[in-house]
Amino acid sequence: MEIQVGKGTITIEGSVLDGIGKNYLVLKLITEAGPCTDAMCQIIITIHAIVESNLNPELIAFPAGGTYVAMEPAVYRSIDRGRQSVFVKETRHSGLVVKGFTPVQ
Amino acid sequence: MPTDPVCGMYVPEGSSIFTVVDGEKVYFCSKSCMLEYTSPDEREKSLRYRLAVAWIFSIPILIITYLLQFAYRDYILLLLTLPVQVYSGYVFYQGAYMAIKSRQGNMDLLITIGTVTAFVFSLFITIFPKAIISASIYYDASAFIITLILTGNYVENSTKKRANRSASRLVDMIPATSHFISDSGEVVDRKTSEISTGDRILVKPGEMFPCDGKIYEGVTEVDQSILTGEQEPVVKRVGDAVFSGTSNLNGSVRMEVSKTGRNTTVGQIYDLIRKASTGRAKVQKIADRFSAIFIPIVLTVAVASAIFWLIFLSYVGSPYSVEIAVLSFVSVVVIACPCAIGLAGPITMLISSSISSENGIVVKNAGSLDRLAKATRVVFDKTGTLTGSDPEISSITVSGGMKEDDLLALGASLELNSNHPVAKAITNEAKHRNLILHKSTGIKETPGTGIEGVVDGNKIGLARSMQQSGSAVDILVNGVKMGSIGLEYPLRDGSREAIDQLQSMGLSVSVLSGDSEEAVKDITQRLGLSDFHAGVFPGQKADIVKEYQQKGDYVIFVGDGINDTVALETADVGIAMGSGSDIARDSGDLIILSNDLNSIPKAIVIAGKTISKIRQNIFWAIGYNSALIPVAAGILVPAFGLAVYSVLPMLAALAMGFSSTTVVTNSILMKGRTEKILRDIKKTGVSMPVSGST
Repeated sequence: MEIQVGKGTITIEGSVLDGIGKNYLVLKLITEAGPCTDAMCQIIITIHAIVESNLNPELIAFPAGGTYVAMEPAVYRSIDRGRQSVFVKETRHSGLVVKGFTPVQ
Repeated sequence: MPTDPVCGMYVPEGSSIFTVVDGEKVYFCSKSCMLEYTSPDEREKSLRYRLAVAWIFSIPILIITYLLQFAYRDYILLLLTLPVQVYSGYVFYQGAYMAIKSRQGNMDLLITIGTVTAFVFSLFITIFPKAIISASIYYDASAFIITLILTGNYVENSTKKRANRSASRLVDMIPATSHFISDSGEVVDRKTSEISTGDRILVKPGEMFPCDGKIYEGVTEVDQSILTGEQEPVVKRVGDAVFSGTSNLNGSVRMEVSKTGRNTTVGQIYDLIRKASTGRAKVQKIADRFSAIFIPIVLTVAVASAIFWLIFLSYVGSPYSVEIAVLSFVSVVVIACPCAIGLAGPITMLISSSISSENGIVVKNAGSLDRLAKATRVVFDKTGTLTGSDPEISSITVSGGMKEDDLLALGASLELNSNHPVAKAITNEAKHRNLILHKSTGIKETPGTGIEGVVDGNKIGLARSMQQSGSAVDILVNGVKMGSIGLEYPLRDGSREAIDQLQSMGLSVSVLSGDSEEAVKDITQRLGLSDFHAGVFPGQKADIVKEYQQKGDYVIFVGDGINDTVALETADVGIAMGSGSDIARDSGDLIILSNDLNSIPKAIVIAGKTISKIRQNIFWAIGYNSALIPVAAGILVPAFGLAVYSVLPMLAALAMGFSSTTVVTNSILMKGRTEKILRDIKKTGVSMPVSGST
């Protein structure tokens, strides 16, 4: 299922939506320190797809096949301004994975 | 959530690690970040001491290892190695401990594993010399890993300081002392840091303004080039705003301070330049991915190479199997440098932002440079952007038997209540003609439409004219049109050159305006443009930007930032034309302080060079690791034999120590090359590629 998010899109595999049930799919950014212990080092930003039972009102939500896909404003901004085509898939070993996402300011 | 100003990490509000600057709490992720922020010199001093100790002990270690043989040699080497291993290497252990604690790999972890492995192996051989047949000690490797990497760090820090210097140049120039004027009028010198908002200060000719404020006595010419890049001095009179960092050229003036310290224009620009290093280009995603898997991959390769050499050399009957296994492990761990990858983007962003600020361009969102380099269309707001924001009266048309001055007086009486530029033009003209203005009541101003109220018992309205060609306002008395005032917005200096430049760079240019079609057509013809939208209300500007985006354009919207917030935010890159006081505005990814439209092609050139340099740095860093890790793992052994491992750990340390310096130096090179192109734009207006290799 494809959802229009600003100037970009999120495509969610049908099996992902089936697995969510009455919960919500939430896209979150996680920041970690870079590989060098240096004030100038790049912060590592990764996106994670999580299934949650409560919808935080601070998130931006879009209806998706009977449930909602919600995201932090920074995720929305990245997909919109970066005109990104993001895919949420389910893998056998790693659970939910997000492909095609780049953090954009 | 607040961010650590040193490393950019999010810090929970209420964290116990904070300091107070200008009355505001600044939070940090760790004490070392706080120390770096509050006393940056302390860290450098500590690094210098550790480096001195490392070299003082490492040189005798090297001489003894390769040239001398005597009793208890191994124990003497152990004693010489201990200060390097414990004192000089402490910074790496500290970093490794933090990495383990936070379950994240970093370069300190790799260095610690490498040097401790070499040291522990040598210690074992020193205490049990016969435990491993033919095994040697490698104190030289363990000490030199620390010494060479510390040296690399030191050189890297000095290079980074050079990169930072241009950023801090603005704040460094602010005078430490100001001439404070007391209530009694006495002038006393005070530290600038002790000056507060509302204080009055004297600024003498030749001095720099230490704070932002307003002149209340005196006239002078001010060199604002440090903020705007414009070399022409600006005359400042009573009531005019002056900005810290600008130079008072020839008049003694007294000013009331409105902003001090970090809140001044210069302070805000400096903060933005520093923050630029946390901006991200799309290509930096590679660094995100690489960093996340780098440490586990390096450790896996190191272990695999050690196991390979152990099994292979045991199989062929070599007595050096254990020794070479240890040395290959140490070499792989030490030669890998994730730091170069981590630095590739931020250091380039910092230098790019610094180059921009020197050209009167404030980069508020460094992440937008990526999109700026990709832009295909520039959409200009007309009024206040392509033209000056203050209109001039071009004609007055009277109907219904009213006199021209009477009509103007009525309009000006009403417009006295408005701050709109049209109101300013009408009241100025009335003042110029010495007309007597009347009291007005019941004022109602509708943005984008006009103003109405009661003057001398008559209901007066000034509304945007829909009939007259060009910009004009109709004056209605009790609902009857009594005349019109024609307005003209003079074109901004250099706008034609800027548009020619943008077109020569392959960009399409469009104009949006709320004015009539005739007025906009006139301006666009003078600028050599054909694509324009007239009669656009402020709210419609964003829709037009979206239309262009839907057609596939990457749109830069250039506006004056007042009514254009939505369009600035909708565009891929929003550029706000501003004056020095506009930095605090939220809208706009970039702000052009100089009001010179030629800054737009410059900004695009800087963006192209920045992205190209980040890409270059990232691929260099990844290439370095991809090429040298196999070397450390033993790919060269068939050519040079196992003897290569006697020096490989030290060569690995040398390579790691200087790999980050190469990235920083490469970024600094961008400065000179980009500035040359920008000078060429200024001189000749020649066409330049939007992006390209540097």
